[in-house]
Amino acid sequence: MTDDPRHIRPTSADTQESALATEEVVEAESAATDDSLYREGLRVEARSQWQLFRRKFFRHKAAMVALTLLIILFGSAIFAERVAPYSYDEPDLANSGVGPTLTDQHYFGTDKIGRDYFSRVLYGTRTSVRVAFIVALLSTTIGTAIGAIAGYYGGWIDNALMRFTDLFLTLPSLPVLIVAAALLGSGQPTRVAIILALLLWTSLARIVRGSFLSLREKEFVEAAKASGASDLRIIARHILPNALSPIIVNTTLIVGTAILIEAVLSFLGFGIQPPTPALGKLIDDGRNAMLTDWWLVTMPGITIVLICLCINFLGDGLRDALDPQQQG
Amino acid sequence: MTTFIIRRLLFSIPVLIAASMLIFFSISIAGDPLGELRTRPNVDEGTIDRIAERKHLDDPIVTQYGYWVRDAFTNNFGTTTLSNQPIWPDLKRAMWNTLQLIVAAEVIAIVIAVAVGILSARKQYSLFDYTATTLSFLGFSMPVFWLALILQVLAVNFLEATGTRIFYTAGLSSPGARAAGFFPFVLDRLQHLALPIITIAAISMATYSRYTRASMLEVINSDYVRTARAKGLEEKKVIRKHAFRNALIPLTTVITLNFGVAIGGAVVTETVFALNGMGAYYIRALAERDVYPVMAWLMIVAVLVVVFNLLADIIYGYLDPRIRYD
Amino acid sequence: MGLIRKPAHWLLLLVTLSMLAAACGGGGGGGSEAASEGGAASETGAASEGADAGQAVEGGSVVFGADQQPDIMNPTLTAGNLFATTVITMPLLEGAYQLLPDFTYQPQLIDGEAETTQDPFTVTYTIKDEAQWSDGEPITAQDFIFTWKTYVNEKWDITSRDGYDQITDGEAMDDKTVRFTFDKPFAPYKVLFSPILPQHELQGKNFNQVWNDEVTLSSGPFEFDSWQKGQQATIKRNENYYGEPAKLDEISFRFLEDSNTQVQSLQGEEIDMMYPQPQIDLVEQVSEIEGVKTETAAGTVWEHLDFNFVVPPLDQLFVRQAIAHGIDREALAEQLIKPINPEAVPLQNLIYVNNQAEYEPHFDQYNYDPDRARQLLEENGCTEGDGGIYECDGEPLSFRYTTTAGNELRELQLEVIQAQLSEIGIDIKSDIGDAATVFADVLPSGADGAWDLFNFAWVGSPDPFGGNAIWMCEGGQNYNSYCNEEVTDLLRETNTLLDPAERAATYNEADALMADDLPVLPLYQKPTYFAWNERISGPKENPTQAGPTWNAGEWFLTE
Repeated sequence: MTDDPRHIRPTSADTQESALATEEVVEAESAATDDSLYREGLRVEARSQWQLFRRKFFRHKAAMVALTLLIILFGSAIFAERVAPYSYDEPDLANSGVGPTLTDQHYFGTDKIGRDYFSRVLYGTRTSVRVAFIVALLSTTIGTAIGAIAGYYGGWIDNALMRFTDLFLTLPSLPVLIVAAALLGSGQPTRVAIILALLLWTSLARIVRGSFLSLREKEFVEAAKASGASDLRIIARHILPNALSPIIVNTTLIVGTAILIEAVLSFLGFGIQPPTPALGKLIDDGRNAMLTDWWLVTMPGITIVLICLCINFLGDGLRDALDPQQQG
Repeated sequence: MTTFIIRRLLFSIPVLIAASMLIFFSISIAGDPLGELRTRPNVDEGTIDRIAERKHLDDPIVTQYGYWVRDAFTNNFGTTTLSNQPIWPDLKRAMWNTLQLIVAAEVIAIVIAVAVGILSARKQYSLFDYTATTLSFLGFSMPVFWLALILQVLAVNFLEATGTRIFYTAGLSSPGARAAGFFPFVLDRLQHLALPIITIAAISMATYSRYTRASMLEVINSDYVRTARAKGLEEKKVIRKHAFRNALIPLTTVITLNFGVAIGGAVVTETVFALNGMGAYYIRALAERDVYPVMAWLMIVAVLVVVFNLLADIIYGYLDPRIRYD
Repeated sequence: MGLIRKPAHWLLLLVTLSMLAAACGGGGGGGSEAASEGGAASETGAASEGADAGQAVEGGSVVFGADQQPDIMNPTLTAGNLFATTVITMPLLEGAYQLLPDFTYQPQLIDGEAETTQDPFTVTYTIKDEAQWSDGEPITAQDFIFTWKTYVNEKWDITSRDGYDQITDGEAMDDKTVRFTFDKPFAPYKVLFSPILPQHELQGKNFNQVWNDEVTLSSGPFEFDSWQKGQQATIKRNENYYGEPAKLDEISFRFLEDSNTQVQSLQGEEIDMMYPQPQIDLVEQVSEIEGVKTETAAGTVWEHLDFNFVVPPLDQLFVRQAIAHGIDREALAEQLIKPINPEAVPLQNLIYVNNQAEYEPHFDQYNYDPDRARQLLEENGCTEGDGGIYECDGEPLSFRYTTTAGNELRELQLEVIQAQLSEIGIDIKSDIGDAATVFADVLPSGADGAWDLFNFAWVGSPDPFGGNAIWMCEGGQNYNSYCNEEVTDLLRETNTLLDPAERAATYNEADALMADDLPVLPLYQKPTYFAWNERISGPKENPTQAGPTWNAGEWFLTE
């Protein structure tokens, strides 16, 4: 996204094996640190991965804008009680079906029994955010654990775990989610989140497994083994930090996916049930009045699109910043 | 290669069996297809009992599963619980309807996405590139049902405003269209499918164009392309002969994989546009807690996913000479 | 290995694929923009039949937007016991009596009322001379007897044999007269023999299958034409109808499961009529469409709130009374039903509905009176506890309120009732579940305490005998464990009382007792909603189970 100087000249990144062990020389064009330079008094400073990442990330304009927007959106959603002018279940029949306006702080208008729509959308966003974060956390944990074990141990463990993953991959996610939601008596955000997480961990497992498969051949792993580190320690302290970048990117994207899928589930009637508001359900409720009360469908929809857009841009920025192999 | 294929297929069998058991048990335990019937006043008890017996609903779950397996293989997936209608003809019809939608949408999406992706890669960072990127991001941030609803409203408003109808907003055909002759029928079908196709194609297009762009970029900046340029080949030939087909390899994989899940995935679009396809079939069967149709549906989709996954790997292995399967 | 195909081959493949897709009726070149007058061609034709505006036109066809597809076409079997089937088959099959929109029974196939005798109870039908099937064969006494035999045949999945299983003998006095003898008086006899089945057509066939895909013979003004599964079913004029021939050529029923889609189709003139589950938004939208007439009525489906007698303290009368007084049913009807049916009022009787002559409002004693509600609670030793919730015997009055998901009316009811009851210190916890699970598991397990308060709807009927099982002790549909022996005895008696006035009085006596017991709080009747394009004349709303197509034979197109 930025005019990255890597396009113009070759960098050390091309020749490194492990993407995250990069060092960058501040002043010299070449990658080698020379004794001669040292003697001349030039100080060569190696940038840590974190600094490298930070520099690239913050230069990514779109990701920055996205991050800011997300903080605003999520922040207001989490603190909905302070931000929203009304509660989400305050019927007020005298004012039903009002369009977006500034009077009475009905910025998004009201619904058919006069509840303030801005507040409902805000609380709905909060529900979505809550679900999405639980999903991201759970699925990342599960996926990373399974992928790490499979990738590290290889052999029959890898085979068995991958077949287990296949089980989940073979079944189409949306239909199975619908079945699970219908049967497990969904309705509560936490329940829905758990169900979603149980189906979304698979891609992460595969990616982590891939990383581990290659990383375990590295010398630093051999060194750790030689010094008597236990398997768990090697996995957690040595390999995992190096496999972090795809995990981070994927987790970010899972948040977006979770929000979308939760919206679809509530839209179809299998997701969050009233009285907890949910964005998909709001759209479903407003569907019948689309031609007259357009805001009922548009406002929640725009919110979902905005959130997912920002998450995608953020993920893109993260991916660019964390993976120097990525071009543009 | 053949051993690879056979081994994969063999591995898939236990996975499919496990999946089928999982779903069968969950639905059978948690639902009673005769439940709604029991709450209707004055429904004859004897009838209910007889239906339960006919479908072995009072047998242990494992026995019921056994009956299902037998029906699945010998009786074309069996019959529905309440009305005892054969499942396969309805499922087949639903599949055919969904297929029309998916194939058309995917073809359109692929053609446009590849064009856009290549152009974006060639003119990286240009206005075109930025616009295309933003639109793509918009595409996969938008919930499918929302796009579908917006399109519906636009179509209806257009009809109101101008009095001419371009697209229909519901159903697969107008009544009487079939009798009107082949070409009017096809035209009518196109008018009905246009909006759903646009909905699905838009979202697919977003993903595919990003993939194309990314892999095109990687190829353009790779050594062998640089070599080709250095050899003095004109740019167009370089792109066409070398970059293009290599860039398309990962895309082929994605498309194949996507196709496998697409059959079961158009649930929402079909609901909004009232198309009688796989999605609608599934929702209805699930609402009635009727295990047989749900199982038939899931098994077919699962098999398709397995087949297409395998196909994706085979195609990839065939096209990319660096990959070898043992 | 690994020869890479030439890109030209790739392109060829792609192009071929898209052509194939298009040829198979898919959609090849992006979004075909045929600005069509295809609107008129593929539409419900007839408009161009000449004649002045407002003049009746012969023939033509009408498209009815059905919100559900039938499983099978046989309306007598359980799988066909859906409104979706009835609406299509009502113009095809006639019966002894017909249900009119005013909830009365009128003789249809029979000449004058059926004659009855008291002891033993017999019913004698005299069939109209001219009555015949669509193949020209006359409708005879044999058909009546065959119908009876079919209904009681254990092999067939008949929905309800009530009444038929009390017939001991059927005698054909002559071809057009038949007498049935019952083992005991069956007061609701008018519901029987609708429809009549043709013996010469169905004898010896597998009744569980034979009429699943099509009704092969009809007695009504229309006969079956075709059924494209998943899309539409069509019925066409019966040229051999014994009565006044139908004006329309055909009626098509398009299956559009989504009510939103139905509205759009009506607006876009893709369908001409619809009979949806009314929601406020839907009604508003339809009222904005030009050229559409609508009619609403209070239907036979009525919403209610049930109290589970197995869950204390709901078994205490004063608690139920307090809840009843704490709910403003007038306001509920006002907010939720009146926008659809301006004449909506709360329902005050469990047996009869508003539109019936026999209706007596016994439940109107439960007016909205929050002060009285609190008074009742405090008189009986309940005290206000934490958060303003009353506690009786140390237990807070907190109840689960179970109802079905995906039903906007019920969701709104829940919200309003929850708010109203919290005003009088009663806490409601929402327990919304998926309809299939809720009806299959939760409701029937009332005796095990699976629910506290349950909100759903009963499908009533002009003749109330079907509801007896709900109110009687140990009744088949008695889910809340209510038991009053006196009520049970009265209800049992009603089936044998042949004098309509006496019967109604007995039913009302039982209802008055139930009003005092308050096992259930009736809320209101759900409105029905019928919308049609005004170029069609003749449709008339029939809120009974006969449905909107009850008089399809009288519809005609104008202009």
